[in-house]
Amino acid sequence: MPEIRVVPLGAGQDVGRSCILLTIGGKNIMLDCGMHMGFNDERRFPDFSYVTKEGPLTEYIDCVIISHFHLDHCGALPYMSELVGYDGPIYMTQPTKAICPILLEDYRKITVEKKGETNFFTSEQIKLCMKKVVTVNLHQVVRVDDEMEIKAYYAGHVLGAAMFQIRVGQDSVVYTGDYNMTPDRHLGAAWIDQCRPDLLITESTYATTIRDSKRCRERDFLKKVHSCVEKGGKVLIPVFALGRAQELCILLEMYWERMNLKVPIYFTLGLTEKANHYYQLFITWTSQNIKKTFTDRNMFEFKHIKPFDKSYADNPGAMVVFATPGMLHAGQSLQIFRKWAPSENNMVILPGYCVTGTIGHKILNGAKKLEFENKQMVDVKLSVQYMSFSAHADAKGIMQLISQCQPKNVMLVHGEDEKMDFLKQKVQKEFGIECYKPANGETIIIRTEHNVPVPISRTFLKREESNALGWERGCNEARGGEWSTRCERCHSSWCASGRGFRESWICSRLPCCTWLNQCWKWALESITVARCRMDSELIGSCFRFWTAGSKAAKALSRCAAHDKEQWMESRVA
Amino acid sequence: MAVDDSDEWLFSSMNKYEDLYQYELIQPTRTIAFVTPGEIAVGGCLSTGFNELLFLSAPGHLRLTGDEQDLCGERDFFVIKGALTPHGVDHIETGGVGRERTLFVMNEAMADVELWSLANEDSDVIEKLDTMKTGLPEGCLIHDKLAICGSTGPQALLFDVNSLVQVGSIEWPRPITCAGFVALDGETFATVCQSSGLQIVWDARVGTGSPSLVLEQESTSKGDRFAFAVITPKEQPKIAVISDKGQLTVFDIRQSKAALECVDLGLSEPTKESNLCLQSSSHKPNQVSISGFGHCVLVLDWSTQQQLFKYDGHEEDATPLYHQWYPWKEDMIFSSSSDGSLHAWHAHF
Repeated sequence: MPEIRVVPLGAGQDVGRSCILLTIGGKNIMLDCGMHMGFNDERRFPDFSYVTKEGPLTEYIDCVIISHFHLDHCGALPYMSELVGYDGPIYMTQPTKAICPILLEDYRKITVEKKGETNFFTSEQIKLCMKKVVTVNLHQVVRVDDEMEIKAYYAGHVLGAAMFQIRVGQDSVVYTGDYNMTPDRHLGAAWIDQCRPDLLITESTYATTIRDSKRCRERDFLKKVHSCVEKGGKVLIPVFALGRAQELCILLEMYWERMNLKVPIYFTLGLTEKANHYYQLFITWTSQNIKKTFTDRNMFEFKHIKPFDKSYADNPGAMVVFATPGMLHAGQSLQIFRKWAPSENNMVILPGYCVTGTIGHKILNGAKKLEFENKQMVDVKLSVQYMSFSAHADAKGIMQLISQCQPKNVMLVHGEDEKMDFLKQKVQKEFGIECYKPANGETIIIRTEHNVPVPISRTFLKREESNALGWERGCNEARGGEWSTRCERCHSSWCASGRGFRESWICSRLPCCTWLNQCWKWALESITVARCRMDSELIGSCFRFWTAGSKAAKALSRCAAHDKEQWMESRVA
Repeated sequence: MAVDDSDEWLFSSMNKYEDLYQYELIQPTRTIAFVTPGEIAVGGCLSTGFNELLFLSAPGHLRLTGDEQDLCGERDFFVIKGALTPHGVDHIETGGVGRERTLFVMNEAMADVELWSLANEDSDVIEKLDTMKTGLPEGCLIHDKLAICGSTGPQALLFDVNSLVQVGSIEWPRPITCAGFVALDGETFATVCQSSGLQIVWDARVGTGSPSLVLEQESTSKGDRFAFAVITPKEQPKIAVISDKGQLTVFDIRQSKAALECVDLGLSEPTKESNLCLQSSSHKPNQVSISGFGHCVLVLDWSTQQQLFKYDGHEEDATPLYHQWYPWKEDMIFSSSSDGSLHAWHAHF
């Protein structure tokens, strides 16, 4: 029996060193190749000896797919391809290909030159690794070989992040990488079509979280920054060059413009110049709003945000500075922090995750005194704020993605919570499908069913199906994406595919069918409860019908029985 | 850089709220049970499909103050435990302590109380323990160790929630539909009839015979639907009653039957689907909050009849379902609406 095998080498019940080995239709694919920021020893890279104890991986791996440029998804790539050995294709999007080497080089410099590590990949090895990259466009089907094809979907999260569908014969898997189901100021929301993969491998970073709205988090951030600079204090915002930095810059720029504030905002040079350049270059990957206004105003050319010079750190008066790197572990952000930490008027806002051992992590744990080289002590008197702006799907977003692509199985990775039984239960009850959450090194085997396609006319199918099942009141169970039902009034039968609504099949002469017709249209258009004039429970049922397969077909049956008359009366009125 | 409508909200909210949190649940909730300063329970209230029963850890920002709050960037709820129930949840109470904590979950259309255990530390699924069958047609309300079931009709039954044994019964003076009940002290409870506004205070000492009525008072407010809240239950308790005609009346239970205040708030009549809800502040006895009239939650000083605050953060076409003052932070209210939104807002009233 055909099967799909998955074993996480990283990000199995963990966040960091994402690396998933997938075997599908006899092909072996490596999904992401990241490093773990929390370790400095061999644990920072995935254990490639699982693939082969010695020698290169080329003959064991058909292709590598990288979802986005964050180091926990691509940080081990040069190590794997040049030190372990791999000469096959590496697939990623254009922005990821452009930005990856910059981050890898930056990380290499810190590791080798600042920390003095050996046995690390070199600049030359990064270049050699990137030569193996094949870029993919969104929604473009790329044939890897005669049997395997891949397709990328927009994931939001960071510039160039993509979810990938891998298809070999009749088996398919979707790997999400990191994604976000709500749009940002500078990036859109993830989207995928109803591709019905055998397996969806999804991140679960915030699977057990109900997130506060983006606008409330922005409000909190702006309030804190404004209150600090209003009192003459300085605000340091350590950021990684690419990602949230651009989001916060657009937010501050908008706020400063509206409030007509004159306090200077700076952005440290180096990586950040290139970052803004790449956002302008890949403008088609940004949000609708940015693309729409780009001809009138380039949102990445800031009026209020200027390049920083290190001498400005000693200037009196208020200012806001974005400085790299994001965890205060080196570079300009650390230098500025050391100058500003002793003043109570100042503030540091950490907008992301800080690895254990970094200054960022220490001050977030309440450290009031820090020791630096030459036993120099620094008092931490400034206000320390932590605000999470990372763009990941929460519990509701994960369920939305599952209902969008309608997989037959779900696998949860990239999440630290061992206890995800409730999410598993929800997935199983809501969608009637299995849900897995493997640990690193644990193999999951999923059996797949293959169909034999038989050409047959629709008329014959409808007739035979109705004869075989016996028509019942309301909706019958969904079979392979086709729902069939019968109108209670005129007794005409009709079928509709989950992929499209075929009006020709509907008896439109009688109002009852038209009502069901309308119900389908609403479901297809995904009208939200808030916007629909119908009774909210009815539309809730219709939406659930659309997204939840056979169980919701029964819900439609119920709402059909109870609320049809109401709708018809309202139409007449 | 042009400012669009969503950003306008940002600017208008800056000075209006001390802090503001907005969440989206998968299903709307009609109840918010504050378990401890760090934990709350909510439940979906849809009549079809499965509803989520959630036991949540409150974000650090809500639990902590000062430096601790700043260092804790989390503004998100964390799902400690959850369960799926085929029934809509109308009310949740909690009982027990530590490992033996139990959620009592009620659906007003059924006369049963479901008991769910939070004890299992190896799983994040809330396990169903038992169902307390009452044998009465509908309605069930619960408080601490005491359940009152069959809240519609001339009789209500009392159950001990630890043993699930019936310990007494109440004969109402006439058929009523309980709009909830509130403990004034360990043995005395107050309730108001949802449809007539009749106020009843009764002594529910169990084991010493049937509970006796302490007070029975006709409503002076006009209306077809009523909600109530008890103000300062322990010292000079008062009952505040709001009718669907927008009349707010406050009575002192112990002093006399005359109303302390009766004011017509001039509110537009609520829709049939909206939930009338009236709550009192545990920190400021003069303040009450009202929802069910439009999409806003109003905060008033009943003694001066002054409207202190109007929360309009829920969508206009959604129906407010419930709201409750947060017991551990002054001037903070949680509110929920039919579009699944759950908001926590902190302003100075």
